[in-house]
Amino acid sequence: MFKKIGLAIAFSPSGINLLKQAAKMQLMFNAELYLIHVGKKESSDEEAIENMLIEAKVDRNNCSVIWKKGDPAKSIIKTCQELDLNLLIMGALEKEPALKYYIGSVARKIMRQVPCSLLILKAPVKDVKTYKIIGVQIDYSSLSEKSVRYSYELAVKENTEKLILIREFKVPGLTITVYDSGSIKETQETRNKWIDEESLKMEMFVNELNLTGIPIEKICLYGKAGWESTAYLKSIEADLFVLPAPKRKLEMFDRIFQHDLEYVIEDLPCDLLIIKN
Amino acid sequence: MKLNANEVTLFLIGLAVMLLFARSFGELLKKFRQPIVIGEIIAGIILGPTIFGYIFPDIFHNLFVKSENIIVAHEGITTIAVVMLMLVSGLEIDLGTLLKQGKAAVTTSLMGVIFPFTIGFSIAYLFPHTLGINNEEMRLVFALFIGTALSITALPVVAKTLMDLNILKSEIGFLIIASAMMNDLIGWIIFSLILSNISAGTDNLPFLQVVIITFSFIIFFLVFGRKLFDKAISIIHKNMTFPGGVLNFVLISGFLGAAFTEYIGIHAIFGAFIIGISIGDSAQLKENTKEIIHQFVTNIFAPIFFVSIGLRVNFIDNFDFMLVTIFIVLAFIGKVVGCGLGARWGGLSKVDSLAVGFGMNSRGAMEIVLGILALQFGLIQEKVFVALVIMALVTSISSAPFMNIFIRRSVKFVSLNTLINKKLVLFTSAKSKDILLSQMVEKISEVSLISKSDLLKSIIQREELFPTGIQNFLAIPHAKFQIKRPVIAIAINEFELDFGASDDIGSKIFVMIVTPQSEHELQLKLLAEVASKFRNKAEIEKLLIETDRDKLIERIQNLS
Repeated sequence: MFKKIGLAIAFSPSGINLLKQAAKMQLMFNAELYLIHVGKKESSDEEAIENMLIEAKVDRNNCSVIWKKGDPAKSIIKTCQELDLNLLIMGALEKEPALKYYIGSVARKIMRQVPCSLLILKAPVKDVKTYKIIGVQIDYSSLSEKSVRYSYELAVKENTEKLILIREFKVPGLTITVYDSGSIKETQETRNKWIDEESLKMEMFVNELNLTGIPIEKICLYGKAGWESTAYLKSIEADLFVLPAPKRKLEMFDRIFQHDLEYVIEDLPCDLLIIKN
Repeated sequence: MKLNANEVTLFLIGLAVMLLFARSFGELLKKFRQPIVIGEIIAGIILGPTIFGYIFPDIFHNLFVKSENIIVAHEGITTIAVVMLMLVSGLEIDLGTLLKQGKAAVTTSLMGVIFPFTIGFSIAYLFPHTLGINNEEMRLVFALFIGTALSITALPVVAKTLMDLNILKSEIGFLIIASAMMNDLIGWIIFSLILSNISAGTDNLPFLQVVIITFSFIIFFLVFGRKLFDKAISIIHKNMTFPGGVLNFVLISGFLGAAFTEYIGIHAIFGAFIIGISIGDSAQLKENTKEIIHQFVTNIFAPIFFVSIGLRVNFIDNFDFMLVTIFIVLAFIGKVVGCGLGARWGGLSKVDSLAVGFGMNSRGAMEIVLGILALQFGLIQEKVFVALVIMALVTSISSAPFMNIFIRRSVKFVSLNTLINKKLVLFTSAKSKDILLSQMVEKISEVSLISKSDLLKSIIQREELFPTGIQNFLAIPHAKFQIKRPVIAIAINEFELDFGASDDIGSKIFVMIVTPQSEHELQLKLLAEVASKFRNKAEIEKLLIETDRDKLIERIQNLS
């Protein structure tokens, strides 16, 4: 699944925790690990990285350190392309003092343009984190199918307790039909009917994928995609949220008129794995 | 100036009569599957000088026009009503939806404004007298207004039409709703500029200043205000009672926005509309809260507003057949061609583009709000207003039947009922899974010229992946295949066959679904629909003993 993993690393306090998590993924997928650091190559820095690698117990035979200069986002994106990585790992920023985690401008740029899948670690803990509860957003697309398969594989390896498929949908214009029915009850009934319909579609979707081995929960949420799943995953204290990458590059407009993903990255509910084609 | 006891009595009786008429005609129209708003408008025409006022002039005069004070009180309440109506119309506009729908929504909404606007503007500018201009000096503004009037789409009526056709929750439904939202926004911005042009230099600010303030207002509330409202609603949810706190907040914000735009000279409704969009975008504003606001406004205030329109104008005296015909023809050409072309350029098929064109043609309530304002501002004559109201009614009523013609032919709106083909309904006596599948595939290949061996291979491959038996004797063998339209075959088999159903009962009724490879969701939709329809075991048992093909089809189509 992930044979070449990259880690965007800086000498921050959380750097070592990020590295530990990356080392875990390297081991899990038997992958090559590339540490990408943007900055001047000083001997003291080289030594610091080596110490970090030892502390994180990284398999040194399968790990390379890449030093790059220039604009951090551009350099990281270019390196991902050059190395043909399958997965890039990076850390989120913490918003003081609200203990909220969000994506900074560099990470945002990387997220938009990176050609591979992306794992954003919300708050790398000292001990390596296990993904006990994984949520996967589905929209029935082929990329969504890939996200479910990847999540399933990860869940099997992690011995995950709960793999939850989340379908979010909203029908624009529905509330305005209250005007004609004159009753909230009728609109609510229509909404419930559609939720049942979507639940049944999810059932069929999972059947088609034929994933057996671990139990899969399915949940259908009505409301703004991204916002509903974020709220839900927070409430159940999920560890990882897997979602297919947006079908198109997110632009400035998507921040103003929020795209689904924007709701998630504005206030990360947990670690985030964005699957790209 | 103060209402005396007699005036208060007459005012309240007047309101009660208006609501009574609105509800009665609204419900009547609902029985004919037409939007309630149309019934409310008709109620006003009947109650007003056109019919009731003509037959019982004294009663009408006493209730609605005798006292200056009552007229002012009515005006006050209809102003609140229209401001609230625009506030709730704004609440439902979600500009993120437009971005999500992508290119097709952008081209449809833009063409839905540009094309009808150009037609309306050109004809009104070149032949202003034919279209009933009021004041020759206002030729440019009049032409701009006619252009705007033709380019507006009424979101509530569109939503109702799509709901009735059962396509609100569909790709085309989303596209039409998103385009109508954008259409409304552009239309109202243009109209606000027209109003600012009319009112400039009177008691208000100069035109350029009004334009700058208007755009600053729009940009501020559509870009930054949304975040502020989102935060505010989150705080209200945590600290105030529900739904009172949010309801009040929405109304307070709406009234303040309305007051501001009225102050700068572009009418109160525009402020309410923009504030509505800004608040409605908040993810914190739950659907049920919106519904409560809708119910509150649309059951009390909107009927008063729509009935009041009929009270002001005599629809018989001001009926001009030529003018009505011109407006209806222009309306159809403008929207159906404009939006149809937009949808086609956005990548939709011809049939789907026409469905979109007719779907976007509903003018409904929005046209009437626009018209009444233009009438108040002296921009149009009463006969133009009457023509606009009739055009709004005709376009709204005709939208659903026209759309239905094209929707039924669209590949995107297939369902089990529309796909059942008598030639593909079989009564079989297969003793094995392979024989049954082969017989069904053979029939499909006969009817739709699909290669039998290839299709059978795909069906069996899928069956090997995971058996397709569901429960209640039902199995749904299926595959994706290189075809343009989905195909369904149904077989009732004499013997039970093991398709791995979850209830361990052998399958006797088989619905084979073959869908185009490119349509990912379609297969799931049909699978879910079939599984849902065949849930009732007692009904299925009745199907299994049916021997007449036509009756079997009828029974299947009637399964709920």
